[in-house]
Amino acid sequence: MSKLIDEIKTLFEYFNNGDYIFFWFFLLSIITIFYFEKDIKIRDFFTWYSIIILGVIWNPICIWVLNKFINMGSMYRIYYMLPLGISIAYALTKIIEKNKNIFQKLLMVFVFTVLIVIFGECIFNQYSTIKVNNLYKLPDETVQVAKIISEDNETTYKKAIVPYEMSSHIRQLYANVELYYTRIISNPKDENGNPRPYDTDEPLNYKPVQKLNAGDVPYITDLAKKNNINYVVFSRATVLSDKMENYGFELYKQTVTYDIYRLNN
Amino acid sequence: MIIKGLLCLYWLIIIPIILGKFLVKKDENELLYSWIMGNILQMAIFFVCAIPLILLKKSFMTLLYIYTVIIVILTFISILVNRHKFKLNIKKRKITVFQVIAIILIFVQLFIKFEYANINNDDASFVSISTTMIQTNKMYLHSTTGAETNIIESRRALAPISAYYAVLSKLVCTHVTILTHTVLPILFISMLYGIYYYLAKKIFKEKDSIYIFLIIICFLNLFSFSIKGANRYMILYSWFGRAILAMVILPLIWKICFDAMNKESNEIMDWIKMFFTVLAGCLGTEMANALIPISLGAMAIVSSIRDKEISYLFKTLICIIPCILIGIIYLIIK
Repeated sequence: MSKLIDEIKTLFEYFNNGDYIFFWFFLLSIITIFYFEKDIKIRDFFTWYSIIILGVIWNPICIWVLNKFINMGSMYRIYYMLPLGISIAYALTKIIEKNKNIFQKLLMVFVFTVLIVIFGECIFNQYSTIKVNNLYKLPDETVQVAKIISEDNETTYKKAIVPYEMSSHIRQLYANVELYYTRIISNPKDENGNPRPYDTDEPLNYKPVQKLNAGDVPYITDLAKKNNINYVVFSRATVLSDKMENYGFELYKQTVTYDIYRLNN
Repeated sequence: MIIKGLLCLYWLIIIPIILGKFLVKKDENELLYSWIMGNILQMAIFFVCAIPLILLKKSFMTLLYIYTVIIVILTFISILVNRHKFKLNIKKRKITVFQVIAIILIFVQLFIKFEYANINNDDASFVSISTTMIQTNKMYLHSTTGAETNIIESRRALAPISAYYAVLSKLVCTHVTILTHTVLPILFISMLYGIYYYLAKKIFKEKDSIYIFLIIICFLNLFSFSIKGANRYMILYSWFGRAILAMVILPLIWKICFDAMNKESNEIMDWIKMFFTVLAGCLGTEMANALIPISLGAMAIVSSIRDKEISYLFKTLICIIPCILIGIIYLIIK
């Protein structure tokens, strides 16, 4: 039971990412609505519905049952059942509604939206939003690399090992290119070669990713031959430990940032 | 490019509007609401077609043909049966300053979504599965690396949103990655604000308040909550099943609840809408099988106690049958 209570705390922290301000706004909103809302249907939705959902989310037995269907990694999404944004927006709109003068309303809308901006953080920022020159909305060079491998007429079977940062994107473009690993690395092994209990999306702990980043040519070419990989993509910034040509690969094509090697037939 | 644009207009706008007429009542007969409900109906129909075919390991093209034939037939039926609902009802309405601000804010978001990219590694499964289906003609029988397998991965196959995107991609003759990353965000974000608009119409009496509510919602979506917030997923990665569930399906369920769980306007059509919305929710993510029954159940309990009406609970139980069935299948093949 104490483990489940810890999980509930962790889920709450994880969902809010350590910043609880908007969650407190939500709680404040439902309390405000409970006391001041006259329409019983609206009051029931924003308050009693939210209370029942909170009773589920913060209940160890419910979490134990839900865990049969939802893995703990995705469990934070149970917070999606709460009308978080809607409750805050409703409470603020009701406050604004009390003013009958349009200029007063505009002023209050301005004040509240400025407060939201101050307390929050814009989701469109340089980390989340980038400009690309293709309609696939994927990094331009990844599109180039995927196209080069996919459209190589000299091979029909195509399997590649690529830098981790592009591994999630290649097969979105061309499904005829098989990959050695993609975002979720299945059946990874630990440093002693023992299988790990879970798949991982921590690439830097995964040996093939480390070796590709390090330019360990003997390791990567050996891995390629054992796993029928016929394309190896290195970042051009990577210093290779040896010439790929010595291991049966040729430099097939290059982009600005990547070298694409192909296994000689 | 023009032909693809016309196909998108036909399959993503016109067909849903026509189909949506099945689910809108006389007083709800607006273009935007018909379009929203048409999309919901399409998703629900797709879910019903896809699950058995995926579990029977039928080909992707079989699903594409079956779904297309059903949609085409239903479209013709809708034109015949609902022709009285197709009258253009253009009213001169006074435009308010809040309405203008809300529309500008929504269009700014749509413009950013169209112009910029939001890249997420989760697409290694969502979108790659779609491209693999189109390439191999097999459904959910390849791992995300592309390796063939004979085992259906239950978690993804029982929420076949990737198959839905693959089918839409074939219908509009557009690469599935372009469809999901460029076209669908415009549609889903429009749906999101459309649903909030209709929800606001339910809970506010003043017209200004509806748009003030939308303005605040826009700011909350753009600035609030954590990296794990549903608003962030919806605005940045609108094609994710979890975003559709949290920001489209659940708010629509709440909106329908206001009509369905209401003694004065308790019409069977509201419960039919609810049933299709639940089905559409199951398409997006396997979590819908748990979250929709809890959410709907909570609404039913609150409303039943308030209105002293036990029938809400029975009707809710019927609506969540798809979630229960999928949950059982999930536990069996897990």
